[in-house]
Amino acid sequence: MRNRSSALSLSIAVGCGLVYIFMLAQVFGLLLVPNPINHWLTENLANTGHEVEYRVAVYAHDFLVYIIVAIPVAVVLARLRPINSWRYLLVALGASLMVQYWDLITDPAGLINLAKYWHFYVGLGISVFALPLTFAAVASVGKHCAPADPDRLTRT
Amino acid sequence: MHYEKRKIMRFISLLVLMIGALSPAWGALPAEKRVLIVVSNVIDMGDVEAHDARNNLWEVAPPYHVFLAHGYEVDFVSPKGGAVQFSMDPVGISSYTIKYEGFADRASASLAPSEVDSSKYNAVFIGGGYGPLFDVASDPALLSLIAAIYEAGGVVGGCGHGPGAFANVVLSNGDFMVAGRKVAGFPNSTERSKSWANQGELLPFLVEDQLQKNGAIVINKDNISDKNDVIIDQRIVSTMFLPSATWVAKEMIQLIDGGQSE
Repeated sequence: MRNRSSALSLSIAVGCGLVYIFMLAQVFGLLLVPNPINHWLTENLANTGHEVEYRVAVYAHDFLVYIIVAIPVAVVLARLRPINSWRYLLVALGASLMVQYWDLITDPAGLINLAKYWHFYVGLGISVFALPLTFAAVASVGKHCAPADPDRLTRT
Repeated sequence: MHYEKRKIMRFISLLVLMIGALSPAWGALPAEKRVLIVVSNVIDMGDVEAHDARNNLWEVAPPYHVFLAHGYEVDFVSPKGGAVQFSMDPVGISSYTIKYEGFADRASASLAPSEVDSSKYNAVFIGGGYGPLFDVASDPALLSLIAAIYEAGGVVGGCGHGPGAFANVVLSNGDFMVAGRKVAGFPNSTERSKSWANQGELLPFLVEDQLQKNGAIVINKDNISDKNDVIIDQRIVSTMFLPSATWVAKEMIQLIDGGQSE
């Protein structure tokens, strides 16, 4: 019974990872199309020679968007039993990274090529850290608000 | 909980360290495959209202991403070299490749034709925007470069107005490169219906007309079922509109990797 429950939780975690990446694709591909922030940053920073400021602002903007999109996913992951388990986070994160970087996983030449660009590491960093940080925040809030988890009593 | 936290932090640190350690080695690896993207230095059409020419970001950035992600080193070349300008807002994959794949750095430092060694390239791609019709299409050095890459067995690809820019390429035997080849480019019917270039009157030529004049078998909306199809005739890959720009890049890669030859 416990195994079945664990398998179900792992499946939900994989689903969370896939939903997360789907939502990011929707947000960056559709919802942010009329977003004036990118346009403003380009006009006022990139096109006026403030390259460093532009990069910092645009990466901070993207990281924030990742965090916002990650909130509902992190909430679901944190509620899987045993609650606040980093195992499910790892599974979801793995699934999302697999989908996002599938082309590069299947074509190492592309990965080797992109590894020459420092920008790539920023994107990878955002992809790797946004969900765990959101999860940590959600888990921390949940720990203070939620009733005690009975599962914890049985865990060592 | 704390034990698991430590485990994940260790995992992430390991991941970052591994990537960091490998990156110098990857950077030192010789790039075996290279693509040259031809872009324009022209900003407007030179008319009183200064109609926008430039390069169409959505026809250049997505193919750049595709080439890069398939292990191709990409260089930009323009008639004058240096920075070039793009029309269209950066969204979706265009935005991604600008922010995370060095597109802006590369495009803002385009090479001049004299700096390019054609023997290093497997392919040449020209996206649209009206800009290339005004300078690339009549630049002898660039046209020779495209001819040299093609004659060395390279693949030539274009999207939208890009095929208009390579319509004038002449091979060493005196024939136009497009002569007798099926080529698709921005169609006359669409050009005539748009105000972007005053129904085409501001342009040095219409893409379809020029292709036809130089002997190409022009593919347009009248003789194709899907206007977004990619046309491949031996080593020339082309399409009419921007949604298929990435597909042109993918077909070019297939031709190169498959070792397609005439």
